[in-house]
Amino acid sequence: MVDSLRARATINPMLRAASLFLLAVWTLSPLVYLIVLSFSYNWHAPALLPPSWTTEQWRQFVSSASAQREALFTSVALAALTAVFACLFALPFGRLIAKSTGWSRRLAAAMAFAPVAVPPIALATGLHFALLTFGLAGHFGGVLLAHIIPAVGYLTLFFLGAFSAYDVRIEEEARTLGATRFVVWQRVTLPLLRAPIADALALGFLISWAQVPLTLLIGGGLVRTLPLDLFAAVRAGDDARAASAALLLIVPALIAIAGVRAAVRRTGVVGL
Amino acid sequence: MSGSMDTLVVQDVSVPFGTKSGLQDITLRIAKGERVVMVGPSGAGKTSLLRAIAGLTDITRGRIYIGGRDVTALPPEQRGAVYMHQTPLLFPHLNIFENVAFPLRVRGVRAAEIRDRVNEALEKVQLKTFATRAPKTLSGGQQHRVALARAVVGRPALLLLDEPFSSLDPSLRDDVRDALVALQDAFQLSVLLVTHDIDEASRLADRIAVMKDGGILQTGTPADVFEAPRTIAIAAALGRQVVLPATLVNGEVLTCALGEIAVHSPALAEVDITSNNASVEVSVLFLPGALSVAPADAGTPVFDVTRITYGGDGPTAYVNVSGESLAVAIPVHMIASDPSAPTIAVGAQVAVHVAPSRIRIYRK
Repeated sequence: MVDSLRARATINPMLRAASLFLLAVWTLSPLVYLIVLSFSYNWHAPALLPPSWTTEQWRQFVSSASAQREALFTSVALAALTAVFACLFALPFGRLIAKSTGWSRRLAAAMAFAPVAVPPIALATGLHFALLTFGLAGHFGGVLLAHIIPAVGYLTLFFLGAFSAYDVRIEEEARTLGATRFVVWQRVTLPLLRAPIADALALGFLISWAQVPLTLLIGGGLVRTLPLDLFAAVRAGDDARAASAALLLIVPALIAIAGVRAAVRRTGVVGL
Repeated sequence: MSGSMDTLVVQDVSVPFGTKSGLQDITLRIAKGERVVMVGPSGAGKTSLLRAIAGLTDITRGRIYIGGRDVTALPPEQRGAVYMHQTPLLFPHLNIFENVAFPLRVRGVRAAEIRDRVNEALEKVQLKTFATRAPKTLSGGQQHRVALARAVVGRPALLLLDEPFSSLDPSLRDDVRDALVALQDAFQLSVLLVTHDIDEASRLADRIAVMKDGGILQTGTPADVFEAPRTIAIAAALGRQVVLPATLVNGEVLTCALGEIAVHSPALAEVDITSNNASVEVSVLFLPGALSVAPADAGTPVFDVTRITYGGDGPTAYVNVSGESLAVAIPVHMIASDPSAPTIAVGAQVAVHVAPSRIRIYRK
């Protein structure tokens, strides 16, 4: 604390302002470029600005027959369901691993880490053949299952961290105060874990949201998500459509990050 | 069966410690409104016994009765015993009122009754004005008092306290001890408390249970246990470690490194002096107050003073007796009124006076 204050006090204000400005340019310029591109018409290098402006791409997006809007809905549904199901599995797994000790803890943590460590394309290939067997390849359910697998790995490790910092003795004391297991879960555990659960839901959503290899291989092009729509637009040279898809991909990520920050600030109980 | 007057009856209870044998055939009774303090070295099994009574640890044999009911197979919430950990584990998402109300809310008590009982409990610990505050805004001592109020508000038959004051600053301990005693009196609770602090045990206990190696070695009033520990091991568990080897001659005189000591009959704990054995090898325990410094005198053994302390036990000289450092009280008349001209200094040679009524003799 004192060290950080000292460090802050010794930074030149001009240098700090310049650093912040450069950081803002670095992170925001691609975003500004995408916004301009999504409203541009016939914009090519070396022109610095579009020769003419149009809202055509966004009008197409809101029209009822928009494939991009459908892709957005598919992505939202996939990501939301992935977040919920992954949390449902990962929360008890994380708690179980946190409570275990010795070799069983190390083995379980390694198993949870496996889908995170394995390259997505390798995982997708394995899953593709497995889901083909069950007739789930090319279906929404198959893609959902494929998204849940790595998400459970990430979230289990996340909850392992949360439960390692969590004092289970508070539940013991609540039991002796007269609360049943269920009441302890409802009135003590869940409220205390509100912040980590909010974080985990956001993380699970984002894992699915940005997923490309798994969707591509398992969905076989039949399940079209926003990232796939973006790829298709880039391949087709439709810059405005690619820009709008990219912007739509960014928005939920920003909302999720803001939501997580707010949840941690609000509850601040076991925030990581 | 449980005794009708006893709040707690622990009958031949055994609890394993992992793969080790753990607690073995523990038997303990606590009467209504009684405060029993368990003392003993780390690893003796004190916490395991508390947890077993609370239902937080499985037992392998024996029965546990609380309030006359056999609770051996009941889950913790149905036993009528509240377990409190070393640190106050208040629910951080609830304010002080709701923390204390928790045991009543989970039992579905009416709102008006909850309000009255919570206010009464908070009043008893002098924290009624803190009802709307968050736990983290309270000091450590205040959090302990809230935890105590929460523990008693549901009128449990038994309170199980695992070193409840050890994490507190010494200046706050009295406050929390007073709060415990006030609550116990008000709600007629039985209390089983674990501590490492021997002074605390002697101040709080109606009875003391001394534990070691998974068993209860002695149970009795503080006077019984501190003044007449049944064995040397019990004395050691109580921090009474001034012990010297000696020879008991004709049951009348002890010969040890301090010289010859005439024996009073109450001093005999394990050794039968009426048999008039010519010579028996024994261990002599010197109770607090048994040893005091005396001026070196012709004909009595003298010892070097190696250190002088002025702590809570009063001015004490440490003398070298056969290579052992023995704490010996400096009597009032030998304490110099002028600290710059002490009557006893490190390096001085002194005699040690023994009060025969303050020694206990054990078989070797």
